[in-house]
Amino acid sequence: MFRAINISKKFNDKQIIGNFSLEVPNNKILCIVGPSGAGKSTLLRCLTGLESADSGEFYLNNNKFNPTNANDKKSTIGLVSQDFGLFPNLTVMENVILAPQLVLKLSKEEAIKKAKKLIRTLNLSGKEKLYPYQLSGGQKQRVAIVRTLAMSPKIICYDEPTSALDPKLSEEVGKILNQLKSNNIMQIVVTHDMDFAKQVADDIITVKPLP
Amino acid sequence: MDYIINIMPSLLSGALITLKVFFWTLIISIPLGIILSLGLTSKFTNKKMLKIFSIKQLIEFYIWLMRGTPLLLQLIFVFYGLPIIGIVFQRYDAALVAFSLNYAAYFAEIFRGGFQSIPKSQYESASMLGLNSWQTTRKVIIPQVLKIVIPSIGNEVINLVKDSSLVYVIGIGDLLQAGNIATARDVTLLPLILVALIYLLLTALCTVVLRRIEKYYSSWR
Ligand SMILES: Nc1ncnc2c1ncn2[C@@H]1O[C@H](COP(=O)(O)OP(=O)(O)OP(=O)(O)O)[C@@H](O)[C@H]1O
Ligand SMILES: [Mg+2]
Repeated sequence: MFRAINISKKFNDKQIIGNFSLEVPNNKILCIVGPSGAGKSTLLRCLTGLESADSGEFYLNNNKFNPTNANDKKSTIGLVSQDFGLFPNLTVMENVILAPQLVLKLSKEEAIKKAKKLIRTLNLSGKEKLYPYQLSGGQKQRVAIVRTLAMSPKIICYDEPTSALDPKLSEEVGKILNQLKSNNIMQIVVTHDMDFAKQVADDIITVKPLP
Repeated sequence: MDYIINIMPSLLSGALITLKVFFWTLIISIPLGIILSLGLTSKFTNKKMLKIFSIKQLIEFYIWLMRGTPLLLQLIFVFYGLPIIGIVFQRYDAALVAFSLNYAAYFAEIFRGGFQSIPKSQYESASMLGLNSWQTTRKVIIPQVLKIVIPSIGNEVINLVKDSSLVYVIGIGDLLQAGNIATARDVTLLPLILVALIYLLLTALCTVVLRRIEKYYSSWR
């Protein structure tokens, strides 16, 4: 169970998130919806530690943790960002095994073995040696998911995971998220796409713009 | 022909000096330039020391100084000026110091542009994967920066081949000086023409190497 309690965030004296709380049980998907500019990405950035929340607390299985602390975050929380953030100088395989090698200290062989399994699961076999520019939007999306999964995070966050995809591919990504509902993984999805939300969500919360 | 064979050894030993200055200047100034550019772009160097100036401002001042005064003046300053206050360099060391400090400033500006053109999202996804800032810089950022800056670095490298002839004013027997001596002694243009050919050969060589490097970096975009 992941819980965020009373999260607040201001930018330049403008309150964007005010005392917002959410919780995600193990093996569940929480969708966050809301109008553009409501602060969904900001909320996700606070949850993942890319912004530090002005106030609020985070608990993983009743243990307090601080997402802005690199050690707390390691293998705890992962983010698939809207622009995927793939490293253009690295191939698909290199993108996936970089952090497992450097951060989890896996040997190259172990990292590749783990990566291959995930690559197969996400239907990317044969793309290992390609660079990101050689991939379609949907393929990039899936590489970003594989790269995040390779770090074995407990909580996986997605910002607009279907914005670059056509309906058919969105459904594919939805299936992948549903497949991941195991091993006590918790998933948080920010989306505009109500069809997608209905497909994957166990719970939906709405972020409203603050006055 | 005999004459050419006759003067070639002195020209070639001059060319060797030129190459040594060239090579060592690059070895020192490129890493130094990268470090300075990190200082220019990092948020850690903004802090004021003794409430007067920050490291960033210090680096900016240094770059302004190095790019705003002639390299020739800097060379003369290091070799003939500094001994007045007790800092004495051998000729060759003086040349390396002056060239490295000067070129590092140019490289720093080039790398600064490179670092600034990397989107913030690259740093963010690296941090989400747990990479520390050194790992991020080395594995993700530097390769992308290198790809961006190589054409500009190439220009400076070619300039350096030619600028190295300035060492002549502090009495180092480089390629140009060897040619000049032979021309004055034998009253013929031939040595100077040979000098020009050797410079052309060197810059052509640099161009080929640079093309290779560009090609190496062209496998991704
Ligand atoms: N770094 C920042 N500095 C200042 N203001 C910011 C910053 N990031 C976001 N904001 C502001 O916070 C508000 C919420 O932005 P956010 O990106 O979280 O919205 P969103 O719900 O994700 O919108 P969308 O659906 O369009 O992606 C916006 O008004 C935005 O201008
Ligand atoms: Mg958003």
